[in-house]
Amino acid sequence: CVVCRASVCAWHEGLAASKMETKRASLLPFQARPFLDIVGDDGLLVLGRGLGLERICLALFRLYCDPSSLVVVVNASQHIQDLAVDYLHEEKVRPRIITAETLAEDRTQIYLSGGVLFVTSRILIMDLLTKRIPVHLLTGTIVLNAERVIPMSSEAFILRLIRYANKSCFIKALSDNVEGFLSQQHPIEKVLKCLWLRRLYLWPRFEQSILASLSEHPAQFEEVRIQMTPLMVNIQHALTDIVLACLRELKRIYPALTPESMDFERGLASSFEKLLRRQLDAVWHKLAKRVKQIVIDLKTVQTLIMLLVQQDSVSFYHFLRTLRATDSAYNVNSYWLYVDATDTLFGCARSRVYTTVKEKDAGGVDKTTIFETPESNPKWSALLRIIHEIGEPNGVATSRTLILVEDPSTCHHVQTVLCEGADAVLRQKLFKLKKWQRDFSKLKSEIVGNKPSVAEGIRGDQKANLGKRRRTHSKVSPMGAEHSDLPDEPLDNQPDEAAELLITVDPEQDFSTNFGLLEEDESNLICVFPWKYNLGVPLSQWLEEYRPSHVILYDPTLTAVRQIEAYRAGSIGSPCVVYFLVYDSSLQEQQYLTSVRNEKEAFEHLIKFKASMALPVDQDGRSGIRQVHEQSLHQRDLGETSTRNAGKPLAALPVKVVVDVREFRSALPSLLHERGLDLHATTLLVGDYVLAPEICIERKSIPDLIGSLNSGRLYKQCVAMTRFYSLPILLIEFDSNKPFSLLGSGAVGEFISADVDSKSVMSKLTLLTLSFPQLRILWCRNSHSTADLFASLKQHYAEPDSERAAAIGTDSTDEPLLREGYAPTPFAILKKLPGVTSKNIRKIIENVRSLKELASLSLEQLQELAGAQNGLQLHRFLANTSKK
Amino acid sequence: QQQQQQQRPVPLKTATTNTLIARHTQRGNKVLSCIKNVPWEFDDIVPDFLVGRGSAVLYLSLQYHILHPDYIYTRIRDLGRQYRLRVLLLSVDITSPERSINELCKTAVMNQLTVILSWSHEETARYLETYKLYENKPGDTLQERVSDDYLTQLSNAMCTVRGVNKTDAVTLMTTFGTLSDIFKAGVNDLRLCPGFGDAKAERLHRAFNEPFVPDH
Repeated sequence: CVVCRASVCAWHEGLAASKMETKRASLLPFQARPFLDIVGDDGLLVLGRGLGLERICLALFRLYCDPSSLVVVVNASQHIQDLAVDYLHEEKVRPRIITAETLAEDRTQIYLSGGVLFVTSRILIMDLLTKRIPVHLLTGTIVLNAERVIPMSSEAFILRLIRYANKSCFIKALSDNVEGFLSQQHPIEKVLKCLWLRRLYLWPRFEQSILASLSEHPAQFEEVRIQMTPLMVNIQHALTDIVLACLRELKRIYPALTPESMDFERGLASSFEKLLRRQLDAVWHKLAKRVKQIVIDLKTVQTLIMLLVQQDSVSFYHFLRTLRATDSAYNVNSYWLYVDATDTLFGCARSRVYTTVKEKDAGGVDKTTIFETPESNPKWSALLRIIHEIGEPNGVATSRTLILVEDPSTCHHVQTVLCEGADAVLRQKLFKLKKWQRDFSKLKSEIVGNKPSVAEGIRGDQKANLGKRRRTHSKVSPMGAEHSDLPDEPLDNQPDEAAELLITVDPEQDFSTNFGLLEEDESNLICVFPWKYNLGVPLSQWLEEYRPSHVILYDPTLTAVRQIEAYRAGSIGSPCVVYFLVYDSSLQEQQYLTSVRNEKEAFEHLIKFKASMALPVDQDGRSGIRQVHEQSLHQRDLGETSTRNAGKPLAALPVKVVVDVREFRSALPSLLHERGLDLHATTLLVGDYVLAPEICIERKSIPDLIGSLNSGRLYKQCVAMTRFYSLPILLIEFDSNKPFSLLGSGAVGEFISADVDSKSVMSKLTLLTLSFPQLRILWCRNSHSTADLFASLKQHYAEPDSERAAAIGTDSTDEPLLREGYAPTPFAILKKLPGVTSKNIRKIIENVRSLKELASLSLEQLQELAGAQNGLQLHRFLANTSKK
Repeated sequence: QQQQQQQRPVPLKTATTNTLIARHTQRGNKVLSCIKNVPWEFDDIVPDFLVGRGSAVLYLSLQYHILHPDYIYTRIRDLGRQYRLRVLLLSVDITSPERSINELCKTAVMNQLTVILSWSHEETARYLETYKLYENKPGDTLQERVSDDYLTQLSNAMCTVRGVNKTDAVTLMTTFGTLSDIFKAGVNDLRLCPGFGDAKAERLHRAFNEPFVPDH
């Protein structure tokens, strides 16, 4: 069995060619009716997961790829954008993607040329506010991932801006995440209102016509139940115990948790951590460090549960070691590492990799020998057996097998298993583990130098192993790989022959891990396909191209199963056998079943809702009644305040607010607009909002406030604000879903320390007001009251000047660099490197292309760019020789 | 002014600069009984509390404000502009305080007062104490500090990439050895680090290879 690179290239080319042919791939039979629904009238289409929403989207986009129409697509994922650009590039007007990188001047031109445009929400808001986009010419808006359009989201703001300016354009919303509509806080009524829609089209998998269509050409499913090894079962038990122990401890130190969030079964479900976080979010900032740590621990343990069945024994052990190492390096004191079951976990995980044999040697002295005997993954042997079965001549001339795995790294190791056998994978992983141990011991000494407290712990650890180590003798392990010492020991004294060997066969260097195509001989093709991350080709498309006779679901998921069904329904002839690999009674199996059930229940809920929904006639805003109603509401509000305070006529009310473009992620701009204020979006270097020539406001949510008080960022921002404005304001905005209090719930004294604690938020806030007596503080219960406050404050001051506001602070440090369009992430990393200062950063950026290039510069070159001392510091940091 | 019923013994007059001064009308205010960390005494002053040479505090319970809406405006007018820092310390003791707080915040902006909200007597007392104790403390402690330990600096830099945490920084360090090698790593090397998803690997790889100055 050979990895055939040439054939991979050939397949790529073949794929590109066939893509052209099937470019106009029509909808599958069962997709036609949902498509007609959504084309026929505005509405929200909710389709079952994996039933091919992409195809419906593409068909919809194709309708509008025409210069005579202008359609904006909101909230689209990168994936669907790429698909559309790829598949519709031969249409009269190609779909185009507009992001922050598209220049403002070009955007006007693009809008005028029409067709289908994917626009980033923030940019679209900007363009709508600045009237850069000709709204009156808009044919319609398509909203994807509609479940995310909730009140106060940017998408809801966009749709309101569009509807106010254009009553006749269509709005079509699509989603295939039905669970997303079940949120307590934002039920589907609210989502429909935000979408300005009155119709709901539901197409679940169990709908009659879809069911009929799919069962016409059913795929043959073979469930292959794999037994876990005894050690894996033990590890799973240990992990379950750890989850339980964590929950118990959490309950003990934080009794306020409701019982349903402490449910054991949920404790194992993947969304459990999110649920818990949602419940604790309200009080997250004032939780004891220990409680937070346990919540984080629960997530870690959940990852471990997943990894146990996904990864091989060595990787699993390696990951465990990394976790423990990180814990000690940072002094985290994770709770779960000290639970009884954790010993079992580490013990079993280690036993999967190493075998310890105790025997008496000739002299009668006890000696311990450690062999590397990594346990093979049971899935691998099952996989090999199936492949073998398929490969046997059985009358069929050729067989094409598709192995579906979750991600490219699994793809990579499945490939190696098939080509070189399971041993090769384990050897590679072992090599990595050894290298890590060697490097880590180096790093340990680094930390030992810096943090005495941690060092003690590690030294103790080493001492404990010392006795054992002396009696360890070298032996060649059964696998033939170089023998290793106890895992805790540095390995640098051994020349690693096995390692040398491995490097030469290591295929990961340049071989694309995205596609793994294996060729046994002419008649048997095997392809390993990572369904989660594939570059450009969706699974449904790949199934069409490849036409497999056998599909092996290595990592079972609902979406993949549905897509195979859909593929079968669409392709006539060519039967296909699907092997469904699942560990018997594993948590992974449970998760799969839960996901099926959840989706079904969600649909049933929506169907019930649809049967009894009563929505206002003008929810779609086409006749303008809703807009008039909403506007009059705010006019009245403003009118009232104006007569009370100044008695000015309405028309003369100052309404202009300058808003920083980054603020459009929050709900406030949308609410300000709702109150009839005129928003001017620009990039502000100082403050977030400018209400008047003298008023500048920095908005902070509670977590932001705490974070920026601790990091010192708020201090810096206050310095800047007081420098340029006579009325600098700090706005502390609470979340309406969380308790309105900075510390505890008031009556409970335990959150307020008895002494004045310099680390507490209270103390820091006090010090801030002492340092900036001219700083005003606004406390707002939620964004709604902030918006009210802004509106009423504005009436007493003159209108701000957006150009002047944008110009303020332009001479300070590195902000202008970002304004000039430098890439933000690499820039942020560079800024954090020692030796890089605000003085030399510009020179570095102008002379060095990327961080990668920076890494290859010599000391002299760095010194030339950054200055002698800074260059030296930077070089030392890059080469990890930064000892003072 | 408030809760006159509870009489407390008057502390001895030891007028030092370390003493927090309360207005006579505050006699009986339960907040005073919670002040433990600084000495305090009554005196004849315009503000409710004098927490430093240049810092004055007006104390207002929202309950009282609802009953006597004009009271605080008189006090603000009387206080004038004679102190450097004028704090309006609001005790939030009603169930839906949004309207009152909005109104008072606005008044504070117009009259140059700094509003502080407190939800309990203990909290109010702690603010008063903190103001007194920090009277001469420089604001520098609020400024940014960066630790100079290698691993912290490294993870600081790495954690600017979305989704990357401390564990990942340690993993990167132990896998590649030096920062230079991390920057030079191929996307597949990153992908094969334990605990790295593909999204994370790609994000990191992009950050290392993306030009600082985008090609237009």
